[in-house]
Amino acid sequence: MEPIQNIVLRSLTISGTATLLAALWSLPLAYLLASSRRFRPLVYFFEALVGIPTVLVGLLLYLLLSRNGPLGFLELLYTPQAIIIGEALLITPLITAVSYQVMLTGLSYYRELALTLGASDRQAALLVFRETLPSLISSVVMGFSRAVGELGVALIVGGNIKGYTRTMTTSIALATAMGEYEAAVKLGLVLTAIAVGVSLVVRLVRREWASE
Amino acid sequence: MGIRVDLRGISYTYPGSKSEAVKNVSVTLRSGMCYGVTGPNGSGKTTLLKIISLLYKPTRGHVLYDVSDPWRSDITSYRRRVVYVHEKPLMVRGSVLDNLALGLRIRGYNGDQIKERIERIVAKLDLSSLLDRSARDLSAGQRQLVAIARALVLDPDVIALDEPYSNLDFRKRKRLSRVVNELRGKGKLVVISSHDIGLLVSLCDYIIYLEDGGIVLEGPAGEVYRELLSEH
Repeated sequence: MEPIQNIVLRSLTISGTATLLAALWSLPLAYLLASSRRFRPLVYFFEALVGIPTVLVGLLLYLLLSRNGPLGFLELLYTPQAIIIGEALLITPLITAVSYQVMLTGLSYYRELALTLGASDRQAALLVFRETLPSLISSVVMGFSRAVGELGVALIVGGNIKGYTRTMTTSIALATAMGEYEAAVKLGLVLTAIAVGVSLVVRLVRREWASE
Repeated sequence: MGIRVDLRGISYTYPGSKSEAVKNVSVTLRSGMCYGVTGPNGSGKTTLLKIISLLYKPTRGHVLYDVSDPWRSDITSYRRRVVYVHEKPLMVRGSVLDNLALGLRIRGYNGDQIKERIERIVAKLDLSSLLDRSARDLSAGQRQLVAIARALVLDPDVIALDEPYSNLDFRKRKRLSRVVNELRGKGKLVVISSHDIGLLVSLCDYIIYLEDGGIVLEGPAGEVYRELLSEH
């Protein structure tokens, strides 16, 4: 068995990168959806995809990245990058849907305030982002929690390769299959501690922010 | 220089709604005057103020600032001539000072200009004791006054106040009335919405009475007041 700290570090790096990547396109997308009624039907699409099974995302990505697939030439299958892409796609609907609700409320209040104080559309958007930031961070953290705890994508497109693509969840699956319950429980506890810890930090940040 | 705002047959329907919140309103508003907008709940007072303030684009008709249609021009430059103060004002994160400086920062003023403008208005509205407090911890009345100060520091040509007196105590009301009179004296165009017709009569030159989105009565304050009294 690989040292647990290596697995934890790898998991955090992969899921953290995937979350940043997903936030990069999900937050502007959520702003676009919230600011124009024309795009509203897309909201239902993203909301419906929030609970998409991780194995399905893994399977679709596998078909795309496999040697005979349309993106096979990229040779990304069974690499950490493949997991990052898969997890980023997996959590995009979640971050987008939650951020959309946050921005919808933010826009109805702060955009109007900004405009009446003479802001351009860009300045108004920046004010909405600034004032809704704590809630937006929460939505991104929710995405991270889903990414770090998913198994389907990491297993199917990562391949659970020791020292390379093995994450906490794939390690737990492997350890359980091999009857190494103690190691599996240990990793499970670490995973839970990360989720709880991140949630606590976010709560603290929000409280500090609100009291400013 | 004075400003004239012409509302020509304007109507407004909220997105997704089937009925018009404001129906075929035509009125001319001139600088140096205070206009009172009154009427029952849901009569379209707030919507009309937001149309005047260029926050809502009329679904029919035209709003003209002097002779130009701001919606067919650079809307931001026109918006910088008018400020709307919400009935329940929103404060952004930070201190009262941060909130007062918000509009000035948006408009690109430098630190000295911001300080100078804020000091002047703060003295006028007696807000100096609140400057360092967190804006979100203020009472409703304090928020209202800070929001009005936040608008006044921008020195707009048109100022639209939505139910500005609703949360103010007697002393604050008096202070605000003095400011409104000063603004009018300086040639600003002031539009105030309120349920309190007596207050509007004492403050405004002209009153617009709305019902179901349309103007049912308008004219010099005293005349409208007498008419309303005789009707009820």
